[in-house]
Amino acid sequence: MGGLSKKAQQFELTAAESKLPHITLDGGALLFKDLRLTRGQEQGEMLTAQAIVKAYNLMGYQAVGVSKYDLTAGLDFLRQISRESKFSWLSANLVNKKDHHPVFKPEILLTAGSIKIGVTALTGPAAGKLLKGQALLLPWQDTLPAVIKDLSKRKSDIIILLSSLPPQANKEIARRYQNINILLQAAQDGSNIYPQPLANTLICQTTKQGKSIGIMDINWQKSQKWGIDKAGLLRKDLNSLDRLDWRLAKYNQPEKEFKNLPAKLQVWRHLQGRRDKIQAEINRLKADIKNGRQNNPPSTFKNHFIAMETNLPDNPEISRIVRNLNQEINRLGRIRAGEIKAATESNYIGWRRCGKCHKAEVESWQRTRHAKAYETLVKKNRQYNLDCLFCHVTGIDRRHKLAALSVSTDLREVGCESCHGPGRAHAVRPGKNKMRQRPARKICLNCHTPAHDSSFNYATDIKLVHP
Amino acid sequence: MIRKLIISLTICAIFIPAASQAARFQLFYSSDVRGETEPCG
Repeated sequence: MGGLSKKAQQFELTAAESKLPHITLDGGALLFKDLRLTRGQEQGEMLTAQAIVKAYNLMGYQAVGVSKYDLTAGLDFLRQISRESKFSWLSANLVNKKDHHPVFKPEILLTAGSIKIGVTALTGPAAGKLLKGQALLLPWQDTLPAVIKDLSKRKSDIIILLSSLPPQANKEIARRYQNINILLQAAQDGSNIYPQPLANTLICQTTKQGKSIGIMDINWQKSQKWGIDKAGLLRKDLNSLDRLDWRLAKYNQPEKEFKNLPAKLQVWRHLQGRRDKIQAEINRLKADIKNGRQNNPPSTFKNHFIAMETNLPDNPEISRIVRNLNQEINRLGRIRAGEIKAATESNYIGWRRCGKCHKAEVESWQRTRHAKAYETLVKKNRQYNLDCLFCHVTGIDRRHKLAALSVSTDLREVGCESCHGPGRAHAVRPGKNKMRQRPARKICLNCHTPAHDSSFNYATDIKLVHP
Repeated sequence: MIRKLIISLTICAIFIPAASQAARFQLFYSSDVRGETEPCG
């Protein structure tokens, strides 16, 4: 799941297919995984941020909101990044300490066809600590009204807010400012949120780690008010009615036929009841549409999310950027590996030693993907990438990623001891020191996290290791 | 006179459909990439 090159390709394909004008925005939390750079990986993490910006430039992004996850390497780094960006970094409430002048643009005006779209952004409060006194984060109440006023003065037909504020604050904004029409949330932990109307604002969000993109098809009307796509609902109801009529047509004289079969009679009555309800809904929608044509029709939208599945096509240009980045991170990791002393003797002994007594089990393991975990990284030239490596070797946990660079050859796979625990004591006195038999689910979840393996199922996947 | 009329009508024909179509557009959006470029392996 995930991947910039897949995302780029989906945007390109969608744009080519719909032929509608479009704009491309990101709510923020773009550049870094955490709020602190990882010791020993600082350079790689900053290179990654730069590569993401290069990819975003090519994808045609127009604006990104500044959030705490963009300030991990400091304000100066983000300033430098913003100079390399072809899109605008926006924040209406991140201001210089001295004059309270915005550090980044507070707003921009975009166009899609003849529609003018005002875009602004608010940076969440947690980013304040990362500014180290270089700038200030003002409360949104102090900055947003002026920006909204300005965007209205510039004749925006629609206003979009990119916000990394907490969800409660976003809801308050939606209730207070009916002229903010879309609010794109960022820096929240959670899954995709289908656009939910609150007052006259649609609040939406995509899940983290770039696993999804959102596509919203907007039919913007002069009323500037969101409403229900009644024509769409009518189409859906007519289809439902068709299906129900087809099912009901199978019954001839149900009251007589099912006289002694109460369960069947109940099913028929239930279907008949549903049909009546749908027919009433159809009549109401038809009347509404007829009346609505005379008044101001509401603006409507359709939204869908595309999950970045591994089988989606890649964009060659973005793939090249990511490949070059991986090579560079791998090169840095290789240098680092050379500097680290060889591992001192650990409690882990490696699969070859296990195989001396447990031949059949090791042979079975050798046919699994666990046995090729390190090899897959070598093939991708990512065997020195610390973010990946600790889950592709044995006996290293994520708190000690650096140690993964110096494990012995026999530990360069997800070996027996990854699941059954360290084996040195057991190898010396097998009768006394027993190994863990079946690993608990939490052991697997060290690596098969929802972020890296969303389809992981303990009950079924454990059988893949020992069929 | 006729030429002017034809030019005016042509201009109208160009702009009237454009104005009615312009109400539809797409928003491509994302958030929280959080430093991820692609999965590990």
